[in-house]
Amino acid sequence: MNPATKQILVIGGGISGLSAAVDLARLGLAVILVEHSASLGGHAAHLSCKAADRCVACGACMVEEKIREADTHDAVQIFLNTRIEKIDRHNRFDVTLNQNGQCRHVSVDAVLLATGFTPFHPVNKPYGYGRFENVMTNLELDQMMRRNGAIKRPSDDEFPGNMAFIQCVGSRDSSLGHLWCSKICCGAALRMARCIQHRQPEVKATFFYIDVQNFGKNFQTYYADAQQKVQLIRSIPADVLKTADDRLKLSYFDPDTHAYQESVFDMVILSIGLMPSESTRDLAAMLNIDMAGYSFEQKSALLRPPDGVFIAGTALEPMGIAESTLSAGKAAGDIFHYLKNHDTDIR
Amino acid sequence: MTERTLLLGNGPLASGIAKTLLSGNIPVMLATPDTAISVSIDTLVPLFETCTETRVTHCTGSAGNFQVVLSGPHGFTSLPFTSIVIAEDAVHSPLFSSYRLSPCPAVLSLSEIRNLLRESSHTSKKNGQEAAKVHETKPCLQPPAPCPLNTLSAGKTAVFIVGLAAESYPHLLETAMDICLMLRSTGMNTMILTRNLKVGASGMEALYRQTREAGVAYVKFSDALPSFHQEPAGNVCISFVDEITQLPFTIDADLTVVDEAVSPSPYVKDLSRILYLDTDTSGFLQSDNIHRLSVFTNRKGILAAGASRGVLSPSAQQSEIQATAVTLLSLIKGTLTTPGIKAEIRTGACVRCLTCFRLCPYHAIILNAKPFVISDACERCGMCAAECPAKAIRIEDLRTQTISERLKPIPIQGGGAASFPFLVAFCCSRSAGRAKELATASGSNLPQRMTIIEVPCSGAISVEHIMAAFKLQADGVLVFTCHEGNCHSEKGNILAARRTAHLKTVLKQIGIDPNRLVLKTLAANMAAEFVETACAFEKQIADAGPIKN
Repeated sequence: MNPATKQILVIGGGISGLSAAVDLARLGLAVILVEHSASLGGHAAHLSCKAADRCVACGACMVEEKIREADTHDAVQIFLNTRIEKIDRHNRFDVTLNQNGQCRHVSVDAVLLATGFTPFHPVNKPYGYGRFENVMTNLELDQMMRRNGAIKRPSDDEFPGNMAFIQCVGSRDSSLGHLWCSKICCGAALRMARCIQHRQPEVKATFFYIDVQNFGKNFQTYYADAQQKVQLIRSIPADVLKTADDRLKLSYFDPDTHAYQESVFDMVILSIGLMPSESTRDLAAMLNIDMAGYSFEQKSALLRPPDGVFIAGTALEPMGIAESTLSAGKAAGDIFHYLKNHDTDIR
Repeated sequence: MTERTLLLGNGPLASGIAKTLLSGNIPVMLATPDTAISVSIDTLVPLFETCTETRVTHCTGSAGNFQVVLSGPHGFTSLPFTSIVIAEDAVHSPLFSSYRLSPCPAVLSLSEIRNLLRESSHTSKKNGQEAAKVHETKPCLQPPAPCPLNTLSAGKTAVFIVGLAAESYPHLLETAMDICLMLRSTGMNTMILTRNLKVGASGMEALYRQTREAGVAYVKFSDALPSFHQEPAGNVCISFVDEITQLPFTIDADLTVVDEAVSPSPYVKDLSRILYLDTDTSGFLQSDNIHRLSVFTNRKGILAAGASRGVLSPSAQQSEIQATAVTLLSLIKGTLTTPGIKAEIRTGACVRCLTCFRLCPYHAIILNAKPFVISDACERCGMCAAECPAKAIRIEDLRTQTISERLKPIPIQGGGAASFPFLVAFCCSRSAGRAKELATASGSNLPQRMTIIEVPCSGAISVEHIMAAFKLQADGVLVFTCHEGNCHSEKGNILAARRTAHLKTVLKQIGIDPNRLVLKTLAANMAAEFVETACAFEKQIADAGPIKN
């Protein structure tokens, strides 16, 4: 195989797509990277650094490096604001790209879906999201920190005195049929709580959870630190109500006293789950992949896609930044192996 | 291609990596301290060679050109390799003593019962009975028959302890759940005792629900742990107060299964020393530094995969096969080489104090008759040049002289008040450099006269660089480094902080306010903080006025 004659379409410019594009380019393959939004980086590009006095290996800064690597590599061609209009499978894939209404045809030897996840929309949960300004998702909290370098209450721009972090909003929820753990939220919320406390030492943080999941290499150290500095309550609150003085009242079953309990907070942060994305379904349909039963509950048909189609990152299942880069590396290896054994040059 | 890759390991991961590399026509030598090769590859493949009872005892050279001394049953051999891949298994140690239990037929480790059930299911298959399909890593869901243990029969109770003494891992819980399902199908009572149910892995929440429906009981603990009393016969009596119902329970366990701690093998620990590899706090061959993801170590050309680099589930290790092969292939193709001018030790000036040899995080400096920089392994962090007491090392474009030329104040029309203050910001190009770029892209206003000097690593910012800035009329100097634990060169930021602290005392002695030199740690995505720091510094210096001589 002459790698330079091979072209791969990577759909999705998030951490997995970027990472795979760079890995493929380094193997000498030509890459077309398509991103439907106006910028690269996906969800990770909106996350904030969670370092307290030292790096806590959240990985959020990695996306900047990946963007630079993809941007500066000659073999990676990037199309922003671009959607996939049509994919025709002959021996190769004939793909119609639509960039802001302008269509363009490309022919590729393999397709990688790195279409990511959709964040759970918590509007139907009894936590007042969308009604109370100071109830935010973890993603919105990260964006606020990234933009302003500090956390303030959206309703009055005041610094919060205490904050509640509610885990498993939309994950591990049999009433919604979401039988999966989103994996990244425990680490993200506890790191974020400690990061905020480092910058705003007056903040008291309370973490409502079912089970604390492992994160990172030094999980024990981070967890021990969180146990010291964050109030950990093994309970999922029943509801959130606004008080007369614009604070938020949480009611929950307190595992220590075995009684109904109410606590008042300045801000409530919902750790929303990772959900399968519509783009994955739409693109899979174009590629004639049977998507019946596609969910994060079990590894689905997506793990055995048709020849020439590959999948990486959170399109497969919930995973963090580190695991996404690994997943991208695996996909790049699979693609390289496939191209070596499938001569698609002959049409 | 004439040279080989040395692959250390003898498990499924090593096997997968060997196959993938061989299919890419990369010659592989697999070496293991084990007495037999369990890797299932036709050893007649001309590119594949194996050696048993063999350990790495010494290694010199660098990526593309390692010279490795192997000690085997026939003595020592020194062989050349282009790269080294470490894919050793981790050690699983049962936590019996954490619960004051003694191992016996009624008290087994998770690995022991898994292996027992796997053997018995293999036996039942051989006996011609209808057997469920045997998965590579999971025991099959076939009741073990004939049962090797009298504790495994209908009506008996098996209790699994997972993550009580120490936090456990999803893949150990998964093993416990799989075994519980199997035992339930034989009519046994099963129970899992844990603190945090580790369902943060593929399909685990669904498996948890499945086991619940099958009647596996779970008891979770937060603070008080159960007490274990082992009878002389070996069986264990477990008592606890359930946290939800507040009711006391006593369980007579016919079988108690204890989970395991996962740690690197003694050989892996030896390898970290022999190969100069950084480790994490548990001793795995990768520091807790995001720049090492996925399978990089601090040394170019040496990769650590799977259970050599951390605790990974068997399925996660499978993903590492292709990822490792991709990284290795890129290494061999030379597409991972750091471009730019590399460190150089000037003959004659070096006094052989070995500071550079000890400092280099990439082990790019070797000792021949005198220290020598391996150009390909040098990542341009500049630590050696900044720290060399004899000033014998230089990286041409990072020399004080070169940097000084870029330190000339930006001329401002009219001069006077508008030209003050003149600030210099030294930025690590991986972090603050990117943050500055993000800030500029989003239209943020930076101080009018701030000269930004990007360096490959803050470890390159020497005392001379900072003093040169002051000599060239800088009113204040900012040093931006990565957060501790995030430095690509591991300790460049720590050295920069040390130098800055030292210089502050010097500034004080020569009558300059030490607050004119400020160090700030920053990540690549902290554009807001970059602007905030720079602007606050500009205001601080403006308020303080020019340096008085």
